[in-house]
Amino acid sequence: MHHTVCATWVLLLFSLGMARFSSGETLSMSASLGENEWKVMREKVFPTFETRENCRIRAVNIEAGDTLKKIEVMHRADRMSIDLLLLDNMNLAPYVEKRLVLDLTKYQALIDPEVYESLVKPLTFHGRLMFVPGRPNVQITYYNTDVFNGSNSKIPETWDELLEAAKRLKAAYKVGKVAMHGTLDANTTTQVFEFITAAGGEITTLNDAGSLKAFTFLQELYTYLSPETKKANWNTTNKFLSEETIFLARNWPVGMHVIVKQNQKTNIKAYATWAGPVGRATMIGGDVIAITKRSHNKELALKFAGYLMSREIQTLLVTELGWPPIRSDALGRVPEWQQGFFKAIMEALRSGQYRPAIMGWSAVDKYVNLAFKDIVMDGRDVQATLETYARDLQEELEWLK
Amino acid sequence: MRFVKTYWLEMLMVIPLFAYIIGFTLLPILTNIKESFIDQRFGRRYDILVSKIADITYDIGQAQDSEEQRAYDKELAETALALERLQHSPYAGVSLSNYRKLFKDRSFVKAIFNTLAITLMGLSLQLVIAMSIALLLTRPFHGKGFFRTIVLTPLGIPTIVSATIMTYIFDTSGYLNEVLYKLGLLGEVPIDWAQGGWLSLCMVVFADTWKVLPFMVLLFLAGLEAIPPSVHEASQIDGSPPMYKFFTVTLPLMRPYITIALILRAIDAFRIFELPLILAGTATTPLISTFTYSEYTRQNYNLSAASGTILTGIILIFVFTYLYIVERERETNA
Amino acid sequence: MPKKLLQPLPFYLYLAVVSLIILYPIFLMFKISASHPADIMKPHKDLLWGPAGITLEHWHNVFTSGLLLPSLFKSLLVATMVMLLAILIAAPAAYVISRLGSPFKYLFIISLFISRTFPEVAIALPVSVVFLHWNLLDTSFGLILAHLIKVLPYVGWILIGTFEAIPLSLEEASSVDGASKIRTLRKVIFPLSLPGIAVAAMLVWLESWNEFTYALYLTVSENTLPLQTYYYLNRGGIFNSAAYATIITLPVIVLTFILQRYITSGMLAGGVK
Repeated sequence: MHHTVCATWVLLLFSLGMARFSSGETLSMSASLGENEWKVMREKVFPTFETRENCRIRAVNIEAGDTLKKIEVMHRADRMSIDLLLLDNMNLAPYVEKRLVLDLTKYQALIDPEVYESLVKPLTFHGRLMFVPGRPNVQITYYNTDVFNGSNSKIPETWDELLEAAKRLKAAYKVGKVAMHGTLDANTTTQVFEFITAAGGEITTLNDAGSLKAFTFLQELYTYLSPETKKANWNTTNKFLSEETIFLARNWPVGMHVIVKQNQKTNIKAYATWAGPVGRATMIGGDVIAITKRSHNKELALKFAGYLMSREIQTLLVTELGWPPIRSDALGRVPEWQQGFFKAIMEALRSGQYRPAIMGWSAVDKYVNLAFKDIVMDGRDVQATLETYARDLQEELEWLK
Repeated sequence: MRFVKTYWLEMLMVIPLFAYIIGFTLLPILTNIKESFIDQRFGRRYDILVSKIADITYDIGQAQDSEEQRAYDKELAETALALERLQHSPYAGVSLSNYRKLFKDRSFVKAIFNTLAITLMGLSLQLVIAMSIALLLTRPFHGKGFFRTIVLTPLGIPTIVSATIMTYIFDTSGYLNEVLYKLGLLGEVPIDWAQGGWLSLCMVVFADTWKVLPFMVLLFLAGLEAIPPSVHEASQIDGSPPMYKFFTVTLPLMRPYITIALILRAIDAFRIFELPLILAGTATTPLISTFTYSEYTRQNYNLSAASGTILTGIILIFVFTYLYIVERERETNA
Repeated sequence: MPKKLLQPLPFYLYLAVVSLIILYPIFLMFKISASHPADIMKPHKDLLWGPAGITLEHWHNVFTSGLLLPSLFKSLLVATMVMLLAILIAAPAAYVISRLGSPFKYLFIISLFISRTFPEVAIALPVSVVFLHWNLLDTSFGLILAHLIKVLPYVGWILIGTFEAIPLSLEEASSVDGASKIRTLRKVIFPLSLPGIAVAAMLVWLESWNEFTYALYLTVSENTLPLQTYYYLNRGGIFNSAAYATIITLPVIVLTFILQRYITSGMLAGGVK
């Protein structure tokens, strides 16, 4: 008796685990979003489309770092279970090279004339349109208003002011209070890109005058930075800012939801960025829309792409999530508490630059981080180290062409 | 044949386990070792080209019109040519370049050192503490069952959870620094536990010990409880001090258990991964396993395979050396 | 056991310190899940509890997010099935190995070892590719199979010890009485090994319940509890992840309390001798 009961339970659990429920067509999409962002998607963005097209949208969260691997594996096994991707624009070239995404040149008409031209241009590879714009994103500089309160200390607007602020804070608190993303991964590369570009250099060259200037500056700045820099990535930086372990750091706008909404800090605000020798430079991140080559629902996916780019939805995304819009006619009104941040985001976008969309970005990533560790963290000679790594980088890039 | 007939039941019982292990562990390991001897640059390019060819072929099968088909055919021809050229390049074939590259990398050499240091420090610490706790648990006292539960609890905490809690303890404005500050041992400047060097190694060792103690305590407890009481009685009669008795009587009897504990723990200690990844980050405190992982995330699969193979090699050398020493001693004592 | 080794006071002191060190991190986890953000997000933390007291808002968020039940269910399903399958596959094999002669036994045990020496991360990729070909990605079944990879050598190891503790003389007596091999197994071996198997089963269940790496590779849409925790951790949702961590830990504590009575000699020693 006891055994039969057990067995029945087991069988029940097993079969429930295997069961699938379906109604109408299903469109599967993936993105790398926070919980509040998914909430808006599910409650405000999906329903209209689902009703209109009589379908169901299955939304899946895949972190940006895992997406390429997962899509590639699914593609190779011919078991593609995702139709549409909201893809981090960090490293798009492999998706093209590995033939994972649909050629969208035929569907150019999906992009309304109101969509910013500058957002569409980088999405062309070998003359073919492989992605359409999803949402642009840019890092902003968060600061603690108790410390940078304008009267005795104002927010740094130039490299010199940044260095001076870092020095001042370290002297006062005996430990650095300004942080950079020093985790020696994509986070670090992003920040180094901004510094090199602000000095007029090219990150893929790595040993030009601008890069030299940037690394020399960073080497000096590092000695006044917070020790948490080694652990500060796009996620932990929010924690350090909230705990007030650091008072100034750049990070993605999603931080405002964590710092202000979740952690209930009222003394943290943001501004665009500081200027380097050549001017201000920020890196344009964000997401683009891609349709998988082996999707079984291409028609529906294309319609959804158009829907996401439409004025209604873009306006909604501005109002609900504070996402910068891809089109000029999406005039949404951001909630009160987000307004300062939104202003900073739009301003930072104005000095936005794209990463070069090359196949070998992972090699750039590797050598930039090696250089950062050797020069900035370990204090080695700037010129010599950059020469070596620039040469190694060129060699590797040749291979990955 | 007669063997099969007599032992068919036994074979049936054993085969599923080993088929599973061979198929899903041995084979992937061997594949990885093979991969490690392919030059990384070659391996990457080869992989891309081969899958590209497979992919284009698939697309040709799906082509809607002849124009598309012609475009694909052209692409296929180009890719096949590139593959030809690649296979005749000097990088093809078996190569030690990955290993050479690894040993030239300062970060990797440091990783080897860090891994060895963490394992050795960790093992010694865990040995001593686990043994002392196990000794305590052999005598009856009030609340013994309660204490036993407490000691066992970390066993079930998922590694990522314990890793995260440890970051909250070891952060610069974390709980450990706070305790030290309240005890007056710390001034205004908090200790930066993640700075790399010995401090970070200690941090990882402590966090790992916390998680792993229950397992070792259990093992030693099993060993201590297996010592027949007659041995204790005999040694008590001759009246020598307890510490002396411990080292000359108890410890030698515990030898097989200590061996097992050390070997099992060493294997896991060398491979330690989630904890240092989250606690220390790869920036300052590289370990072989985190190094393997970061190369993997950069899609340098061959380099990653080489790093993994080196780790396996180290573990196997350690295990067999230790076993050899133990066997030798057993023989000389016998 | 040398009884005069330890005086009562330092003895209890040592116990107290050890208990504190072991329990404090777990306490922290509970605390964070029920604290006001203002109490956690500050440079000087409170060691016991912050001034703002207890809040249940994070727990409320977790329960109303709609994400808890699916992941709880998946973790439960996978862990239970892994436990059953692992025992089914490993127990018979362990029995046979425990009865083997010296060279073969050593060989088998060594091979159980070696399967543990390679970094999990390196194995997980080729395995996930194979599983994908078999259409197992993002299924509970695939995850069950993957967990078995991790767990089988470990279980085999423990069960060898369990079966070794059953003296051969009992089996011999049984066959002298005229029982067939299968009958001996059922009537003699199985009942005696049940406590050991039960303990191994619970350890396997815990291992699968907490497993993370394979889940990371093989899951696309339906997270297990540890994955869900990782998701929140990765995005700074420290309060949510603390709540999830507590949920993960509760069955563990309960099971551990039950287990601690039964984990006795021989269990983990495996093929010691």
